[in-house]
Amino acid sequence: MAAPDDAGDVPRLGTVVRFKPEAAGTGVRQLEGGGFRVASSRDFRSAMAVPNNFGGADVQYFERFGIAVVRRDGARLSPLVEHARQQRIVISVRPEIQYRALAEVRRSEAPVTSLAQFDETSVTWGLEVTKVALSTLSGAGIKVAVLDTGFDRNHQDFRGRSITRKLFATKSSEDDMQGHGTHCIGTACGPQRPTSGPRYGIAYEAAIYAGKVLGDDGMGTDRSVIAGMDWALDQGCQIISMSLGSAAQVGDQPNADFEQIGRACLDGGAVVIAAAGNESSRPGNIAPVGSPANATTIMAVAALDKALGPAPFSCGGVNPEQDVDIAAPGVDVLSSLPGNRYGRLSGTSMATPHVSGVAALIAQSDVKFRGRALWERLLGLAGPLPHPARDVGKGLLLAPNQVVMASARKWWHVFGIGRA
Amino acid sequence: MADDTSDKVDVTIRIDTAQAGRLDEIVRALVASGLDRVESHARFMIVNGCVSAGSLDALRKVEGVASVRKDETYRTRTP
Repeated sequence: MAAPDDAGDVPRLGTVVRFKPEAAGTGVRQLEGGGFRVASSRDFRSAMAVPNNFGGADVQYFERFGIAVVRRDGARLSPLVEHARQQRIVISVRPEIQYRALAEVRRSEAPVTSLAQFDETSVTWGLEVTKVALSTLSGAGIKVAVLDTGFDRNHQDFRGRSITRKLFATKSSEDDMQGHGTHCIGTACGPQRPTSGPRYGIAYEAAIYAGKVLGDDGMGTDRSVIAGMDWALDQGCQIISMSLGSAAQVGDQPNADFEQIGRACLDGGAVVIAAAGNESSRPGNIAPVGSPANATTIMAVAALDKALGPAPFSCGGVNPEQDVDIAAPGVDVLSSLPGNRYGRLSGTSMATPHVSGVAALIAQSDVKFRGRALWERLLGLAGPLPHPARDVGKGLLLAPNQVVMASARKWWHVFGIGRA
Repeated sequence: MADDTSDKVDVTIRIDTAQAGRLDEIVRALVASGLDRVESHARFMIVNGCVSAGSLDALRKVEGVASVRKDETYRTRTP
């Protein structure tokens, strides 16, 4: 996003100024009066992406958010901001977050190129790279709600499990006609030793709460989704996994309803984890994180491919303060399907239950990890990736390994990942 | 979804969290303004319901209502 500086192609970061909504126009006029050239995001509403250099302007102003990103600020900005603070026009000022262009990552330096081939003999590639396989945690005592297309509770791999189902979708059966929900629950809460094939499930002793909020056609509305979230809290679930959403456009605001709902969930000791969306066609087009994942109180999950790069379809933090929070495996993910079957699916839908399952392991590890503390722990454990935060957030999901140290050390070295 | 044979739309109504003590009263006012199929989520301060398209503005005028919007459609997130 940054304009090139005088030294060449190194991006120069600026300052993010957030105005009080009712005073934003005044704040922008003060910037203009101070000699800054201001470009409005309205100018780019019809564009698939915001131009990197804002057409050469000093300031890009997102009027819907009351946020200005100020470049070339130098010594001019500080007195203006101080004056605006005194007038209570400005709410906050912070440095711009640095993004690195994908083109700047040399593939030879990518840490896992040689591991792009996974044999998946004992565990899926997703459980391998997230180090779930090294963890002794099981999710025991934790309740995980998966709000999706339903669940085949008769699947052979889930016999004897604690399963609670509830139908919220209208004009739909109680069964998982899409198979999507059974696949997501398989990843989050599937068995340690499945009947067939490698281990694909993370929190294998967690209690499963399957809320069918998406109908037999794979679609649902606010009514069913919100009712499902309320039910999950009623049931005492610590994790609410939502591999669902609707697309957002460049310049859209987060849905204020889900801001409020996500906050209530955090206050109630639950983390809502949602799919960032699949509308990108990388590298040319990076679509913004969709709703409800774009709410700041809901964790947005991006999808990684087997080289631990952003999946071509995975949405990014294009709109201000609607960031990707974390990234997880989301390509060719093997999991359960209705009718005692197994299959591979791709999507941020598949990345999301990886995060939800690991969240259950963290929640099991210490009762203090609930709500916001669980959120922070998830992100704190994440391993850095050589990709922009716009695309992968804090980085690669990692399990809280109460580890077999000798085995773990090998993977830390190979991946070049530090541990919290 | 709203009944296909009517002009009614499903809506999500956000209530000002400062009005938590008045939620029941606000819901009654919404019903009086035409809202039906009401589902109230007190912990979220969110009300779902169904209303004729011409009554949306009436709902917005109810004291304590922060926003009223037509429901969105959500889908699975596979490409």
